[in-house]
Amino acid sequence: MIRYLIKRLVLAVLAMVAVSVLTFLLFFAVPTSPAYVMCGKQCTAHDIAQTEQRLGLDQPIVVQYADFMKGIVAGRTYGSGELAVHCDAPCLGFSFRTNEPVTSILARTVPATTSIVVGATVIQLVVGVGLGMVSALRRGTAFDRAAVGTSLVGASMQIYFFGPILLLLLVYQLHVLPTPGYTSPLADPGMWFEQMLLPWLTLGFLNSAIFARLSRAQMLETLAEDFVRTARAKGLSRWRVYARHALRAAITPIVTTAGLYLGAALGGAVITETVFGVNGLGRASVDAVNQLNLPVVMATVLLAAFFIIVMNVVVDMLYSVIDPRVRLG
Amino acid sequence: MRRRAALAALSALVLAGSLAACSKNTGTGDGGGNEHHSEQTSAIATDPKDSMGPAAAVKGATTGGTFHYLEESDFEHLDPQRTYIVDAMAVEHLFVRTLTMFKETGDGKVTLVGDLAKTPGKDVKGDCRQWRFTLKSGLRYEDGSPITAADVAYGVARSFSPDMSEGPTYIQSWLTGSDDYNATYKGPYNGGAKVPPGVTVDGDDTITFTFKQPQCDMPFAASMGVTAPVPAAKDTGTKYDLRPFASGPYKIDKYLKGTSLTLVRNKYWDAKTDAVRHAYYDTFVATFGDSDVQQTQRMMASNGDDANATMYENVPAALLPKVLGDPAVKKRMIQGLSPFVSYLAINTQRVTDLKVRQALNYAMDRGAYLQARGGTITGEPATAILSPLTIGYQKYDPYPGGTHGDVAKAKELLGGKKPKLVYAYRNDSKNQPLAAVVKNALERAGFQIVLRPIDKASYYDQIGAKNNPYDLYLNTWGFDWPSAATVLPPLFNGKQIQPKGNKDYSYLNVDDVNAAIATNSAMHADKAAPEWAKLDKTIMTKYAPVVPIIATSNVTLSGTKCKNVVLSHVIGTPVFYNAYLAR
Repeated sequence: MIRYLIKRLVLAVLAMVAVSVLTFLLFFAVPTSPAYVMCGKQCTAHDIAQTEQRLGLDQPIVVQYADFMKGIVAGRTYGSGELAVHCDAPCLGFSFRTNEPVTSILARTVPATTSIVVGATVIQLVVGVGLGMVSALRRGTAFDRAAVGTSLVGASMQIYFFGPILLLLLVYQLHVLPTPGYTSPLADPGMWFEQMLLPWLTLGFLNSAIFARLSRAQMLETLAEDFVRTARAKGLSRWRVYARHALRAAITPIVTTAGLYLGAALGGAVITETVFGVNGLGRASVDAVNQLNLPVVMATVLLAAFFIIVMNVVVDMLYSVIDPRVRLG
Repeated sequence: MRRRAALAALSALVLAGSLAACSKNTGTGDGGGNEHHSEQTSAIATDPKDSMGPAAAVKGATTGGTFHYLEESDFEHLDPQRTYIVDAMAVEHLFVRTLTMFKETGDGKVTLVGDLAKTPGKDVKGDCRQWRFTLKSGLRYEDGSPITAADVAYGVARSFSPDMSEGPTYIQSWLTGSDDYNATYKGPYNGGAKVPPGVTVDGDDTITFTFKQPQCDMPFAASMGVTAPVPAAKDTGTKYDLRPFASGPYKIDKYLKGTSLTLVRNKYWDAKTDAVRHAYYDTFVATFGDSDVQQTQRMMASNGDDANATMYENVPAALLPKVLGDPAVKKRMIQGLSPFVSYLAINTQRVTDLKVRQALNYAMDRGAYLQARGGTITGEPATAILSPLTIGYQKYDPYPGGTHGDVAKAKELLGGKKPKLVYAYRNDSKNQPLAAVVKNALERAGFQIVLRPIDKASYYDQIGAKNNPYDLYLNTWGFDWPSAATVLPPLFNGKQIQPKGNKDYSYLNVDDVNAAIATNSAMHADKAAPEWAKLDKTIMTKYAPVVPIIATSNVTLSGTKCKNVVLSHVIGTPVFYNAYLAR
């Protein structure tokens, strides 16, 4: 297990270095300098040169990359003298545009995205997997048909359509819920919950459709397997067979899908955040790309990669717990 | 100043824009965009009494409540010396004072009055080279300490720092006589003097600026954030952006960057010292996140706190019919001309034939262009370079062809030729449909238009390169104050053309225009105004280096309880110092 973890960790670091190099190279392929985007209306060539020098943009790419990496490990200082700004390790750079360490941007956007994504994941797993399991066991009944029908609608619906309709109805017209947004749960847990409810329900409902269909199919397949019949033949009760044997066998692909979903969504729920006006990681990264804000682009891309890699490891480890046949090594 | 691009929160160099304007304008118009603009010769208050407080009470205004403000993304800067974008300018009026300020009460008049200063400045020798400002007494910061002339000088000094160069640079360039104003003096940091070169401070209340050349627009320039007072002891360098020290009626209570800004009353502000601001509501809360669509829907519903809110973003074209179709909502519209004018720049280095450039002017279909933006409520056809809100503006139409152009006249000028021209545009959702409109309009007259999309981040960088390979491209420009001095010189002074980073996008470089720019720049604002209007006409009739298309309008909404939110003709966005909340 330990050896496995170390091996995965090394691979993860290598993957992230590759991602960072690629992002850097792609960024410098853009035929303009971020200094232009930052410069005021009366920008002169002299201003551009000074800005580039201050941000280190006049250095060769290799030097800039090395500085960036050094910042992560040891921190960095921008500018000199009285106006020097120190960015503590792990320094992911300094946002060109908003003049703040990238880590402060992450610190305020990651909690918002995490809130949305984790809440929606709970809903989609409980509702989706629950629905799927029950439909599999009640196959062919009215319940099954209703559940399959609903999930088909959910799976084909888009959040940018469904979200605004719910907003219009529940927030603007009926005033049942406050305008979505992010309030720290530490500051006001009630407000946090109320503001998050709509994004959770919307995203949770739409994604649960996929999980319902997936778990129904998995469960049906498992129920047809020999070991289920054997267990039943040995006299185990029906529910015991379903809950302890069949479910455990059926759930592995669901865990994989859920884990990868979660990893990808944590990297930024761009559409959800835009629809509901929540300032999360997804919007921050889109803004950064549009504004050529390299340090923020780098940080968000790396963070997204990090989430996916971590969730992959978590999924692999969960496998070994759920299914004793799987050995990590 | 600039306006922020509404779409997707990217406030790249989009609409270069600015301060604003003067002229009779009915403000919240009838929706037709047909307000009358009567000519105004000067906007500077001559009677010192006009600069004294308190501002005349707004009829029916009540005190108290929390005013809400919605915008898609946070301000780029709140540090007054670094502010150049209109959204932040409007909010900074509430907590930052400057030497002078434009007073707008909603009756369409724009008057420049002394804000910190007793008058809008004194031209000491009558040659515009030396300007003196005397501070009012009783001015205090949020901690009760007095505001001094030395603090104003220190604020100006800060604006020289290369680390804070985002703001306007007029005063710095005038003081040093060079566009590279911070080549030697780099601000008060790292041992730099606390008073910049050319500035002298006498006692606690007198500050004098001495310029290398006559700068008659100094009273206007002094209204920008560069002259905001900053006590040296409170200066936190680049971090000042997060917590500027208040001199206005409000101060910052809480600023969660990217999320919200809360202002509360500054009890040391004395209304008797302020000719412009009212402070009717107790708290001002700006919240960031909602898109233009969401903001419009919230305003239309005007539910709960939203009744006390005003939105920043323009109502998107798709929702305009709904807003205009509901009289109760339409009544709450804040609509009117803004100082920004969109025009097609013609690269005169490539399109050298005057007749071709004139034909382009005849062929343009301004009606279709407005239609693509959402209709006549979003602007009005423009035939002059200057905005109708500019002091001294004269309406004229050198190439008359009505709203949809005169195709026959354009064909006649082309004489059977079919010039092939390359049209470059910012490749985003706003400019793609406009490109189609421009192409269709010009091709009616026989032009062959090749469309060249350009990455949106590098658009201005590319069209600002002297040897760019394009013939036509759109630009939007707004004045920094309602004088042509901040429009015609940057756009048509051929002497400033550099290999890169130009604003003179048509690359016009002709002696008579360059000379007229130099002459007008040395005249007092009231005398210069008609001269600038004349030059506008000369440029268009003699050289036709651009095709003016539209003067843009602001279309936003307020909630049902928000009263007296005035659309500024100077910055083209709602201002909040007159507003109050109905009970």
